[in-house]
Amino acid sequence: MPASHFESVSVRNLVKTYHTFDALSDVSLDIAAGEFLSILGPSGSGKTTLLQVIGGFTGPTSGKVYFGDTDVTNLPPQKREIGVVFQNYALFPHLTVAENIAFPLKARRVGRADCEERVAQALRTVDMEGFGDRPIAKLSGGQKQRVALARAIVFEPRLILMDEPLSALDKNLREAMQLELRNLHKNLNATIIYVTHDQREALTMSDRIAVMNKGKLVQIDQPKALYRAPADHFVASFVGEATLLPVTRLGDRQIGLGGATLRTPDVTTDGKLFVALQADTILLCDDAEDDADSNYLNGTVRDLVYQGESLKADVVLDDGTAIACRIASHHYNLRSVPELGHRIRLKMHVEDTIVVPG
Amino acid sequence: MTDMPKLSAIERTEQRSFLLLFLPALILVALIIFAPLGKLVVQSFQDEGAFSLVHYKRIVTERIYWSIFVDTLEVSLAVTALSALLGYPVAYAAARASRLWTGLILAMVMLPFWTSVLVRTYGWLVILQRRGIVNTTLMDLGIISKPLELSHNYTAVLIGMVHVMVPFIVFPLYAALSKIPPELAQAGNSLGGTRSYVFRRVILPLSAPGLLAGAVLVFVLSLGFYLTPELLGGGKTIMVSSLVERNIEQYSRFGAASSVALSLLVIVLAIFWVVDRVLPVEKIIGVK
Amino acid sequence: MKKLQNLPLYGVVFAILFFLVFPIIVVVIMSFSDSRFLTFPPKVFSLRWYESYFLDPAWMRATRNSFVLAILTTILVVPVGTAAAYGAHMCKMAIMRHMQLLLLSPVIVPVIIIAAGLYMVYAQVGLLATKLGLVLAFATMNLPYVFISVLAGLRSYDMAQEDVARSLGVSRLAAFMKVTLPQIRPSVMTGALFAFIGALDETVISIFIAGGENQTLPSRMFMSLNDEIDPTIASISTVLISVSFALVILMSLRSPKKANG
Repeated sequence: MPASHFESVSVRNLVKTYHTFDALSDVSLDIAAGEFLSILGPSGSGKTTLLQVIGGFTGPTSGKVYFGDTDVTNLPPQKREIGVVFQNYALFPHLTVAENIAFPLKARRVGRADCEERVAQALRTVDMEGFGDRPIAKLSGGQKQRVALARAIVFEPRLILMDEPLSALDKNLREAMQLELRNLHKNLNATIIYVTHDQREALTMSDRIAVMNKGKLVQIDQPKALYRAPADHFVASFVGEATLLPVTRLGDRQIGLGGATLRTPDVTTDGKLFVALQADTILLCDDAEDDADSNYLNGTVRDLVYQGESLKADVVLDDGTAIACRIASHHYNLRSVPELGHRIRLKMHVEDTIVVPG
Repeated sequence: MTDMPKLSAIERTEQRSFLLLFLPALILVALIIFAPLGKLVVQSFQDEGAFSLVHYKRIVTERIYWSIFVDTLEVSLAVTALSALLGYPVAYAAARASRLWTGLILAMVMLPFWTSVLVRTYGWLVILQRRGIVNTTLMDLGIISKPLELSHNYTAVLIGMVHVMVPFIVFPLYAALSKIPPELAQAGNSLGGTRSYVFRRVILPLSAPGLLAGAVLVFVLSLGFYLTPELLGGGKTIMVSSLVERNIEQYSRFGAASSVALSLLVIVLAIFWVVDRVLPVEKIIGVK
Repeated sequence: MKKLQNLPLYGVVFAILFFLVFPIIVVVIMSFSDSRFLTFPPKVFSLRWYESYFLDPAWMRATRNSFVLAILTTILVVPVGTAAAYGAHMCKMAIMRHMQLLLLSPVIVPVIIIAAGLYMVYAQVGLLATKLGLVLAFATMNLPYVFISVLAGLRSYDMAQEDVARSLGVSRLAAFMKVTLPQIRPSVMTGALFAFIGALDETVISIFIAGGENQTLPSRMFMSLNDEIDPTIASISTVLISVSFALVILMSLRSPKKANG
């Protein structure tokens, strides 16, 4: 399938003001043609408003939206050539699968033979051949998802917008669909803007992720970079599910935590600092071990919870700070797991000792 | 509703076009409801071509006038109370019965609801008049020797009006009652409440909004009710509505009719205004 | 045990339901009576009151008038009410609630007041006893029911569908006609049914402003009831009950999914 119809998208200084708050305050963003960009944020962060503005369903209070070089800010949705997949799919229940997919083609007065062929082609793309005559009500959640997708791509849009399209599916199906969406993205070379509040989903699928909070774009980066180098307190807690502990800055690359001095890759800012501790980057270690690339922490085991594939240990550091670490529950590890109330020594790689501003 | 966006240019145009869609309906209402109300206002303050308060003075000073207002309020209150009394058990049974029975009970409420008021009033005439069903049956049975005066009086008006109003109470009440989970009553009983205690302390408070909506609607509809009092009241002027009609059709006293009609309207609007604080008017109206 | 406890309640309910349907049953049975006098149950059955209805040109003209007026009213009020409901649903401006209340005024203001005022206004502009005057009045009186019914339909409808339709390349109007309207059709039909039956049944307004060539059925029935009790009314009533019920049942058969209204 030709990929040329997908375009880049630019959003310039978007502001959307509601009576009491800014749903979007000065958001700028560039999405390359063929890129899969996720907009990640909690509810109320403005991510859906941003999607609505890009889709043309609401207008911005100020700012511009460009597709390629064209200013589309004042174009109504029907002139934007975008494929949209909503959370609840928004399939037309009074039409069949094929009629749903043919809807955008009919709107463009595509000839009948051509129309039929393209519907069949779209159904093949989403692996739904032979479902054309089914009524929408007779489809499963995953099938509805595919039909919505087929309908969004059949008219060769410039851009595909997705608003939490997988949130209604159960876990297994959701993971399968994530991979399918990724493949589809590669095959079509489509520009996709994908709104979600699920960080794992965003990390799995995206080329880049834009994290939003309180109407502002906080960070935009590749998944790995986002995870490794969160821009601030919010991104660290939202993306990594990290425990954030206040720390003091002791030097250029040194912070104090739990009575110990930790080395970090970089501490650039002054002011309030936090260390973002990911439960699974903290490992058990012997008393003897001493490695130049590691930071070491000492504490007491306060609680141990068996969670299936791992054990979660609550550890109180010497100054009373509580942290959690996750110990994979295979037997190599279980041998060395200390008992409740016992001393424990932990290590963490210097590069994993991420410090973020508050 | 709470958060009004500062609208962008396209949205402003769009919002304006939505208002435009409203316009034809507004024009109809302006022509058919508000123009006549305006006409009534003008007429009511006019006597022989000059401004005058004589028509309103008449309502206060002439006993016939204000006593009809009092009677109307009395009848409406009685109708509301009786309708609530009759409507509650029906709505309660419909909310608690099995699906089949619920359907049957509601169908039996719908039947009169969808039947013309004229037809129903005619039915009551047949039943209640001198040679009607009740009298002939009682005479055939030898219980009475000469027919009772059942129609063309206050009682007949009451019966006929209650018959019209009961469905208006049943529908909102049923809606409220069927939303109360049956487990609540069971929980109440299990906590040691008797049936009547649970009813008074759990079911009745929870169904109160439905009851209020129905009662307000019935009261207001009763205040302006015309057909049943006119036909079953036997030519006596019992209600304000008849007073309006008579002043127009029989005496052509438009000023008197207008002042009476507007006084009634003020009462009705005052009721809605008060109730609106507790229960939005749209909720009350939305039942039909 | 539970059933026995409920017995008094169901006894009372049955009595109330009997009270509700009894007058209607009486009218239907009366219509097949052979007697001029209102004996119940009738000694001999006949169709003479149906004959005296269907063979009377005055009754027939009133009936035809009422049906024609009801159809014209429905044709006028359904698009007007639907447009208003759509506007109200989509418009986020603060004045909307007040506008909606204005639209509900035909049910808030007692009908006798509207009838009285309308009589005076129509007399002045020469609309008394005209088809135009009657249709405008009937349409306005039933506008709230269409409005409420369609608005309820729109509220339970997912507007995202209209957004999707537009993103797929059709205008808002086309999206409404092709996507929204087919899905809220049951609500629109319910509104139309309310309007039709309401117009057929509009009595108080008719008493004041109908007449002459444009006499309506309810207004003629009212006059006849006020004079003397003619059993012809029973046969007409039975016909009216049948028509209302045929329509209501037809509607509920057409939309088995949910009962709107």
